[in-house]
Amino acid sequence: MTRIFCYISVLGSILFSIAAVAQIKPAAVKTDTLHKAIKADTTHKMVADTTRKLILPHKDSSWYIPGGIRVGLDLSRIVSAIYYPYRKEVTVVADARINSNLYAAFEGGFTSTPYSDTNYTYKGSGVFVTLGVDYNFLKRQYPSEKNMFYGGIRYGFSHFSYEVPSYNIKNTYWGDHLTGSVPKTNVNAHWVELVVGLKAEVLKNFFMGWNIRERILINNVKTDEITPLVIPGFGSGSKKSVFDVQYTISYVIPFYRLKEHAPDLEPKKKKIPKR
Amino acid sequence: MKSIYQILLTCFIFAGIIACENETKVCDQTLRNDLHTHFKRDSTGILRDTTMPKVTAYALGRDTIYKNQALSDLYFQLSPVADSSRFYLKVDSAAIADTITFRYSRVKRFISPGCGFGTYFNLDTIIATTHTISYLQINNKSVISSNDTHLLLYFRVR
Repeated sequence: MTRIFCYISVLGSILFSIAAVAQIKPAAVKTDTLHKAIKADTTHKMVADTTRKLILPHKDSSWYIPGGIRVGLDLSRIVSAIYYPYRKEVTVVADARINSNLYAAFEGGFTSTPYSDTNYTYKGSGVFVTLGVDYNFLKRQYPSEKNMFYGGIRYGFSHFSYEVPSYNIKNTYWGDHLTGSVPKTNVNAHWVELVVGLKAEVLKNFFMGWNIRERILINNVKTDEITPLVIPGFGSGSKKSVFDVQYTISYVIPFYRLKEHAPDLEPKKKKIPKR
Repeated sequence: MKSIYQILLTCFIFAGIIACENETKVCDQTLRNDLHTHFKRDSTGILRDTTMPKVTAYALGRDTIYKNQALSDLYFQLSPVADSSRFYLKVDSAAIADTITFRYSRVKRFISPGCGFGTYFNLDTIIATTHTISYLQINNKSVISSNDTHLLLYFRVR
């Protein structure tokens, strides 16, 4: 009897263990399913993360972009001195970053205008400044990118003087030579200029660029007696508007940074018209 | 984007060419602002443009400007150092010569960087003998450019 009880208990334990193993196998399968579920959850988590990334900027997403004052020289004045031997000009260009796309622009310089031919001699000199803003239209590839494709507007002012030490009017028929001179005259000129150009960072903080510009003279500098040959910073004194080209090299002194906030990516809410 | 850069480059080159214009090398306006005279014929109230067959003209004491030329317009060079100029005018070989005296004021002007200085004239009075000339009419008192007609000379029909 005791033997029978032992056999039953052994068989029972064997069966139980098999059953237990059988129970474990499905359990293993169940674990796999769980893994799948976890994977599915991970995907969910990823979606949840992406959403978090989109939401995060609203809280405190900002970074620093390089600022600084860019100072340079206009090289086109060297070329123009070849075409205009009477126009000796030095132009310093500078700009400072105000925000991510906006720059305060400054130009200043000096012009000397010595001219002489058989009809007259002319002496002129003066200084000029232009102040304005440039807006960078170039979409940055990375936050620290400094290349620019820009448009700008400037106000220009020039104070200059000129004189004609001698002139002569010839008349071949009458055989007369009329000589005279025009005394020194001081003049102020005001103009507005529109600029479009490029600036590319060719070496670290070192830029090369060009721009084209249209200058429109606001006030009249001509007199009945004479028209100035050159208005410093503007160009021809006989024209109301002039085209000009600049080719600049410049160096940025990066002594400050600007904090830039991430753009607001929230979709605009549609306005529901009131009925 | 590439085409934008090409357009910008073209603009740059074009603007560069324009910017390199040297005004002192070109005299685009004539320094000689001669008094432009046009001939007309008055035929009993009907006015017609006319060509005179043998025109001879010169300033008194100076070289001949025109000698026996068929002309409908002539150009007198006024003296830049005097306030009056007198000219001899004979329009036909058979006609009696006339003299015309121009009185004017002079204004010195800067014409252009290429041309330099010149003299503009403002006509005050014109006095002419009437041997062949019937009468005259001042069309424009300001002698700035020879393109304008400043004086009309009317001749009788014979």
